[in-house]
Amino acid sequence: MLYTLILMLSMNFHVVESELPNGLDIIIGEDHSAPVVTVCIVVDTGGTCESPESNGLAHFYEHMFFKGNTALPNQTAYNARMRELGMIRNGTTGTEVVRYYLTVSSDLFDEGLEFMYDAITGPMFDPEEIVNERSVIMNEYERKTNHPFWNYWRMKEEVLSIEKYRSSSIGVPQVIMAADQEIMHEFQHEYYTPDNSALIVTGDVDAEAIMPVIEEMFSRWEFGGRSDYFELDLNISIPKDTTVYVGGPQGMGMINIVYVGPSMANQQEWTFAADVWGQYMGRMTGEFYNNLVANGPFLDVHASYYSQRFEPSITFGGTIDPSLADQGLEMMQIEIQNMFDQGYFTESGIEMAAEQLRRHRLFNEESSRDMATETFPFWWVQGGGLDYYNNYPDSLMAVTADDISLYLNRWIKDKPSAVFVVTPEGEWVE
Amino acid sequence: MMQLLCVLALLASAPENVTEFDLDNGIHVISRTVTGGEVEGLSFFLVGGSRVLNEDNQGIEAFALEAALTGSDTYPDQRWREIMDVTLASWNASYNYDYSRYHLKCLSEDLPLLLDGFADCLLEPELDSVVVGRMQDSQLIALQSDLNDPDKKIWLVANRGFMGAGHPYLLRPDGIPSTLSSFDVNDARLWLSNRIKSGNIVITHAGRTSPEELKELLEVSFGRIPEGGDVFPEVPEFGIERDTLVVENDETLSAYVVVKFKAPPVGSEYAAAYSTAMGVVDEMLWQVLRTENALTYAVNGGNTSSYQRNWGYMYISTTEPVLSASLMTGVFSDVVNGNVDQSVVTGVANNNRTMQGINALSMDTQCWMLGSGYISTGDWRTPYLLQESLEDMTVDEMSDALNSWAGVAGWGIIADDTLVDFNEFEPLPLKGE
Repeated sequence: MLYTLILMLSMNFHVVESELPNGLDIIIGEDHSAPVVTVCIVVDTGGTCESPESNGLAHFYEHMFFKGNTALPNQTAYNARMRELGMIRNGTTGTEVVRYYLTVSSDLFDEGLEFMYDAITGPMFDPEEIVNERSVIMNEYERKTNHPFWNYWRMKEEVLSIEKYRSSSIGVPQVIMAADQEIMHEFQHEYYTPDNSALIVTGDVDAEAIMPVIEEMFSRWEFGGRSDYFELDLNISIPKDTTVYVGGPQGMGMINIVYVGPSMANQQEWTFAADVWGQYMGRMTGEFYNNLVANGPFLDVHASYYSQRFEPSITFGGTIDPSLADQGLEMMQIEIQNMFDQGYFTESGIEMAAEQLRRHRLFNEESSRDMATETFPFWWVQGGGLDYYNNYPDSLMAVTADDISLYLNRWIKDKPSAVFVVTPEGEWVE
Repeated sequence: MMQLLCVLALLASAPENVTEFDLDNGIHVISRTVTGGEVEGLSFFLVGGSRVLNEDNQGIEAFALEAALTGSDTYPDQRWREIMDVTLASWNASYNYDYSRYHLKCLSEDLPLLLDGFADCLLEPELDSVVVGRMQDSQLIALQSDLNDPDKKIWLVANRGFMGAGHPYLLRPDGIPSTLSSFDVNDARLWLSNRIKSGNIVITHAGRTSPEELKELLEVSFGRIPEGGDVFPEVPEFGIERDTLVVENDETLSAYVVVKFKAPPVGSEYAAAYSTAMGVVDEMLWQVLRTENALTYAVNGGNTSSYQRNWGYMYISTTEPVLSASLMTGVFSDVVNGNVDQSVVTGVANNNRTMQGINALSMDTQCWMLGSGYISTGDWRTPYLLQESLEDMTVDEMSDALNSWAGVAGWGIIADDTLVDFNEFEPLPLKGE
């Protein structure tokens, strides 16, 4: 027996986990409600693995994934095979994760799996295709600059990141235009290894029947052991209180107050209270909403913890008439202080927040395809495996008002924050 | 009297376990029973869309429905927010040319309470002016944000030349800033009292609640809606008579180009072949403009298939719009002339089959398919049965459909005149004539 089966009953469908000897994690979720199957490869890499000289390569690599490989020599052949299989596919590059996924009819599972195997293990990085793809990625970059919140995104990188290039997945034009075959192979050699990846399959399959097929195929993928992903440093720092005004779209004001949050890499014990706290604050009948929206100047508000390994953050934010932005900022800062009052967090409210998170999980599990492409990849990367996700509901139910108080004192009380005020008149000034 | 009509899936692509029935007040309901999960989807369609709007009240239905959903006499604002907090249910509103759609996503156990509240909000809306004013400001911000995004705005630019002056689809279901900002709670109340009539409404559902249970729940909630309804004028043909071009100068690093042209109605004998043709156009645009010429990150083609009047389209964002437009018409011309390998046509059918499977995983998408199929053709099965027609489609059938329907083209371009010389643009004919 080369793998270990860990049976886990998810809320709506049957999930099986295992690990191949080469280190590849396997996650299979059975869902027989439609005759399709989704195959996803998730890799522990992304913008956070980059240097100033390689800023944008993780994303460039993602583009090259959909080009020629040892089985399908160029993109034209690649596209023809996709049509043959009726394949719907995509890939995404984030700062902390890269995902590739495809969906095919379940009777074509073996072919879809083989397609994924060839693409992940044997990319050619044809020089001509690389040159072509530079232009494609530059157009993607140019499109992003047209987005109404482009200035805000850039300013966040500038203010919050210790090494700002690690926060920008799209990269910079000079790196994009210089990418070549050798650089791509170096990136593959370091990160695209089974011990740095997970294979996720969900849909109309029999987990026990397909496991040997997966094992036979993916055991050929050679162990790497070269990734530095788990040794990377935290990439967020707010050394002092900072306020920046940023230009945004006409007619809209937005305020975000950001604190450094606990890292999913080594501070997971704080994250359950963080999530319950965020859900508590998001209640439309809670004090935060009532004081700032129902009886205040904001149109909507949110407070949340973003589960990340390298750039974990806690954000209080809201949308507001731009002419009321300064008043809104003052009120939000007062409301943040109010959180430390005795009785702000009630046990009944905390129970409701935990119950809401349980429901949130049920909603997420509606589509097994979304589980393969969104939920499992996110939690596998952030949790360093699926144990965190599996134990999540029990951990949430154990959170008390004292836990939330400890969390607030540790991460927010008297801690420096970065304030972003986005208005049409805002400028790039600090 | 309850009239349940269990529809057999006569063809393989139509799903099983779909039941149609009417409430006593005449509201038509289509329910697909999906077992296994706890998530329910229910869509409320208010038929009319742009046809019930005029230049001065564009967006009134979007405003009135959103205003209604802030609370009712029985479920006032605070109580309604409590219910949302407890259930974590979500509402997703969309407003298009033929109907408004409000979709509810919730757990099965919460469906009775939410249906009761939903119907009460429509019939007895609280319409607190402060709460509604806040909602209105949010709507305006969302609208303004879209207008600031050239990627979204380009579709409206293309409409100007394509639809022709006075066409109802030029009226924006989600409003324009000047109209949206002018509405108040009295406008909302009047609009709701005129429009919330059983004959204007279709309800679709997907989830594990049985049709019998659903009918019971709906009778006590939506069964209270008064009978009656509007008579909708026929949507006229699009007014475009010759190739047109609308140019908008905007400070962007990338230009955006959209071209629209006529497409057959959903029930037409050409519908499947035309849809296949546009699937092939989509494939070939990717091949020629992205794979071979690296002119773009985003290029696609397709056609609408849920409106009274449909259109085909091609889209690209690029720094070289003139060359791109020329290549786009070259692709189009190839498909019209049948210069396409049969394997590409078969590929479109293969992709569609996979998409049908993906769509079946979402209660939201199921509700949309059931409702849009019924509203546009009178038969909910229409979008599902498309696959049957695609399976054996030939290159000749496909090119014949495109040739028969796609004539003159309405082009729209957003570009920066410091990057692009507008004099180089011209409204290219689609078929290269």
